[in-house]
Amino acid sequence: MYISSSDLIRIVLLDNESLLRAGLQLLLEGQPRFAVVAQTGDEGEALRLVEQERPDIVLIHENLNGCMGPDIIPDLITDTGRPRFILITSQGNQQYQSKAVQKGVAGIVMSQQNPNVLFKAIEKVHDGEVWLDGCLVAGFLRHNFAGLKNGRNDPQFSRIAMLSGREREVISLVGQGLKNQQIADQLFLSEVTVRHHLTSIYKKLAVADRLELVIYAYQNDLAQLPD
Amino acid sequence: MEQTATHLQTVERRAKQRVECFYPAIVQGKDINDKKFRTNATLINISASGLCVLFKTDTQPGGELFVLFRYSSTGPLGKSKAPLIAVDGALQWSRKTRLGMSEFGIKIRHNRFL
Repeated sequence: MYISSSDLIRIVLLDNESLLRAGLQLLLEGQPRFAVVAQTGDEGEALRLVEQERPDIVLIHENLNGCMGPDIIPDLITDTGRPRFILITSQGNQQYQSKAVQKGVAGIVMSQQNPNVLFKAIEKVHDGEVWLDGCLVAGFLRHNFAGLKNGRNDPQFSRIAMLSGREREVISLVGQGLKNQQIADQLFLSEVTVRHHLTSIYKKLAVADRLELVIYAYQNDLAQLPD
Repeated sequence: MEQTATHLQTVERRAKQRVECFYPAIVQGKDINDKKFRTNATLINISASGLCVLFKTDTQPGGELFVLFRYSSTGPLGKSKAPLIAVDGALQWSRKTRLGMSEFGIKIRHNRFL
């Protein structure tokens, strides 16, 4: 079967036990759709490799010594690309897995499972789905619905929910200290449009001016300080 | 006499959200001798209606103060890209701290992003 290079799933393999890493690489390369483009056991090198190779999937095999794990994920998310992360772990603890998902893991495969499960997980996660234990997904849904239910009574929540995506972008840039013209340049808009967005934002958030908006944005995580 | 236990609950009564911070600022105004001064200060908190700064010079009650600060620990003259804000306001209250400094509550009249 011929697989074109665009169909190949490019994988970077992170595992600090070289023997297991080599075994995983052999397993993955036995599959026609997978290409292991880089592999390492060193965290510093992992950052460089992910930035350089821009893989589709980063496969993190967590060992018992805990050196390589989901904690590395925030550093691997670069401006240039965002690969999807799959964690191979022996830890069945739901709380642990939940934390891993919050850090950006889209798939969790238990190390006791059959290699075919891993292959399936890679394909699903590559296609934009998640590969998680059913109980974990149920827990997330419960948690999120509870959050929504509580949020309905919070006036800030309903105000923020009224903002459009573009308005959120404008708020974020205001919070970074940009002037209207700079925001317009960055979003490829005219300055007048930015002013219209700001008027709408002030109305929706019930703030009087730019200073109040900045304070509101920092308080409600709509903007991050530049340093 | 029977005493009734009352449960006190702290309720935020401020209309505007207030951000606690610790940023360097520059304050300009007139001291108690009606002499112009400019001094380094520390911004302690800010809301859309007022701010609290800490500095040493005694100032006139009700006097006009000009505060320049940046949303960054680098201070107003630093190279950070964080918003740089100039505020013009009136002194509402002041209180001495134990270290000989004073906290000043300023009501914002105008603000401008620089």
